[in-house]
Amino acid sequence: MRSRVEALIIGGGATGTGIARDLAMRGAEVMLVEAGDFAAGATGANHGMLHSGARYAVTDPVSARECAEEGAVLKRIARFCIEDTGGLFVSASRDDAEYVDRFLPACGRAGIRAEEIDTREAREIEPCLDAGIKAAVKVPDASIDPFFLALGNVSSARRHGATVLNHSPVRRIRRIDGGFEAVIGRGGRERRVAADVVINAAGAWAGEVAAMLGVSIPLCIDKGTLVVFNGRLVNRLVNRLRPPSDGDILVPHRTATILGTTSSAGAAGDRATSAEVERLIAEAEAVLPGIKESRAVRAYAGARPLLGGGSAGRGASRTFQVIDHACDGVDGLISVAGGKLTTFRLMAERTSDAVMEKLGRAARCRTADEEIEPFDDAPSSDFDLEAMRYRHGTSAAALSPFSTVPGCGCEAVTRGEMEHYASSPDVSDIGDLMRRTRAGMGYCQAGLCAVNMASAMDQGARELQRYYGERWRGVEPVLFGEQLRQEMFKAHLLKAYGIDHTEEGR
Amino acid sequence: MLHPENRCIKCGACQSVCPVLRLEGRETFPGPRRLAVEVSRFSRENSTLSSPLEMCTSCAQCESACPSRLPLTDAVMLMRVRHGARSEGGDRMLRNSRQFGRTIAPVSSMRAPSEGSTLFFPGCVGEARTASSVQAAIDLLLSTGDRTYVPDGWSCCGSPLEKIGERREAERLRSINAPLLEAAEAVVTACPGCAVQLRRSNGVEALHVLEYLYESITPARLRLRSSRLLTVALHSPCHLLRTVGPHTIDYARELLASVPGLRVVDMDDEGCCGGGGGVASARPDLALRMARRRVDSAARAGAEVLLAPCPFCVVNLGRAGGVEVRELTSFLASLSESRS
Repeated sequence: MRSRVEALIIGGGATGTGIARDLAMRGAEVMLVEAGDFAAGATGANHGMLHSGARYAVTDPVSARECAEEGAVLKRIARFCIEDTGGLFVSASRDDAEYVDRFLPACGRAGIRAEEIDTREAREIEPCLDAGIKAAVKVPDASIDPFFLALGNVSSARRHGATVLNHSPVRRIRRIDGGFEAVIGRGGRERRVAADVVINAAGAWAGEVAAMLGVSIPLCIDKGTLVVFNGRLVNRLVNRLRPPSDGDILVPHRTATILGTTSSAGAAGDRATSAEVERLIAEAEAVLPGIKESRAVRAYAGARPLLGGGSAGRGASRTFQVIDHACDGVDGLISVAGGKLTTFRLMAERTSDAVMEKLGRAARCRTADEEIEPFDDAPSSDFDLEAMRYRHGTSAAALSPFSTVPGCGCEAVTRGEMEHYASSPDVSDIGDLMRRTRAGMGYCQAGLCAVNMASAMDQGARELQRYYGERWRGVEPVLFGEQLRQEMFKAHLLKAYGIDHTEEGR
Repeated sequence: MLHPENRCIKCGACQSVCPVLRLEGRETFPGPRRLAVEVSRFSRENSTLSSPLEMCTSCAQCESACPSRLPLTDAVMLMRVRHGARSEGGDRMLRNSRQFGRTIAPVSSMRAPSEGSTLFFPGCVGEARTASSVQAAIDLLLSTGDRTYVPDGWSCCGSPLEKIGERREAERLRSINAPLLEAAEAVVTACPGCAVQLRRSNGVEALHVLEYLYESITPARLRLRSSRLLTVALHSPCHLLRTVGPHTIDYARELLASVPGLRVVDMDDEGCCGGGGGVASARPDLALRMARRRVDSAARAGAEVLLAPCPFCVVNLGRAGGVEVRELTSFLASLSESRS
């Protein structure tokens, strides 16, 4: 089987799916292939933060301005997966009190609405803040769900005619007359795709994709670890008012609070360690005293693909680059790298501009004009339906006739929602179902709902064991306090199924 | 610790003991774990919860069952303040509180000394809804030679106002009561809710009248006797059992067992009467269904009288009809030889 498209996109993160949506909306024939599941790389392993740009205002003004502009666009087109919580920058008692004097004008220059407030007022709106904070600034940060953002891009791209495939790794790719031919898929399900242009949006794996065509990209992988706490410890994003550093952002994210990050040289697939968790919590204690006794349920590490020209880690700019590899002798290959989740749409627009030029076609970008998923403002009177509306947008209403028996209590996912997504051709394992519903992401870390997910998918103990193995990697670094009790309890329960959820297996 | 309810490990014990969940079903009342723990972690979705939130009777059976001893009742009440609809009853309580210092407008004044050593705290419901019981309890204490008194100017303990989120008003009431309570040698009340609130907010060792009768007066000094053979059943009020103290209800049993001529029968169904947590005013239908279960159980056991050491239970159980319901202390008073 061989298909032919104008543009083949490799990588199903926010950027790749954003490009697929952008090009499809411009009328191009597009195929996107993702080796694993959508949002399974850096897209799904960050803070879930919609930057106002304030974090970079002092040190990286280009990124700051990009974030400010794109943040405002996303608040318009991705309402279904954004909670506009607002953000607060606070300076802890040991931070440099003068920093605010550089911060406020820098925000002004980048076009960010930043308003200094009284520290007493800050503690009224965020009661858990340390009594010793010295300054507080309100900014328009927000919380965004990157999984649903990427999935929203996928459905929007499909509605505009794109072919979008997950679990379809590129096995080989070669240049043929006037374009490229790629072999994609696993085992016996390989297929050939011919494309005029290939877009490399593989994130941390972009170097490997480029290497298949003999090109090298100066990419450095920066590891960032984050800790998930159960429940809302803060109502809005809380940032440290200091130059970007470790453990200085708390994001209220759906039913949790995410603390991050670290920054160190790493590689794709790196795991969070308990030492990193301890370091992050110790840092956050300066702003949110008592957080060390709060319940950490999980830790994870993301691989930031930073464009490294020598400077790496915190020093590297968070801006992005679209690389036309014609200069490397591979005309028709375009790579996009760097950037932030917040700027994914702009990255997609710039990349798509370059692709359209290669294709010799002209159509302007429309991604900022149309909502990714339709979102109806009118709230429903049912809790489960509301939870679904904030995951899937207006289309969630279609799920209302299905079973309302709870499927996952932590995340308020019904059996009906599970069964609906289990029947999607995109969903082949329990992890896929989790990313489409959030079932299993809550504080019991899939203690009970994994069984419901497996049964919705007609899968058994082996698949459950594999899924628990994946969950365990994130639980292991936070095995203390209440989560330790939780895991002991799970071990006891799961014995009945012959499952050892602490066994990673393969 | 920030947000203690976040320590849940999902064992399900709380869900399995909740009387409202058992009676109404999950679709109508999703249970304590769902309301106190799971959905409290959500934000925008919680606007849909006002109906189930008003159905919690704050019986605290969930808390007793919880292996992590999570403050589930407080967590539900906090959710109610944040996301529940303010009921008419709540507004009325606040108005009354501001005007009279009581959540219910006082109807009559009690006959009691205004000075003494044992402060008897009538409580709003006690004074307004079960006035004769409160009077009987005071008379019983006085008849034993106790220097019982009710101070002028007492106000509501503040518990119902805290539960509807009116912390400032509750604080105002607390400070009115503070000097009165501090001046007393002992503080006694017939309302379990008042006893616990006075302990919590005023820091005084307020006793339920049963504790005082049993420990200080002692059963022997009460000289109780029933003039005829009488079969009674004893209801265990949730707030007496789980917040005042686990042994107080045993005192009640022993006091009753000491009365010649009295037969105490066990009921086949123990549990909440439905009268707490504001349910009787917000959801009278539910409160009545729960009360019926208790009263029917007493009738099946052959009881002529159902006794309850809590004014809320007395009022709510009394609505069901079928079996006579009496406040325990006033019942004991009616058996007192020194009185007759």
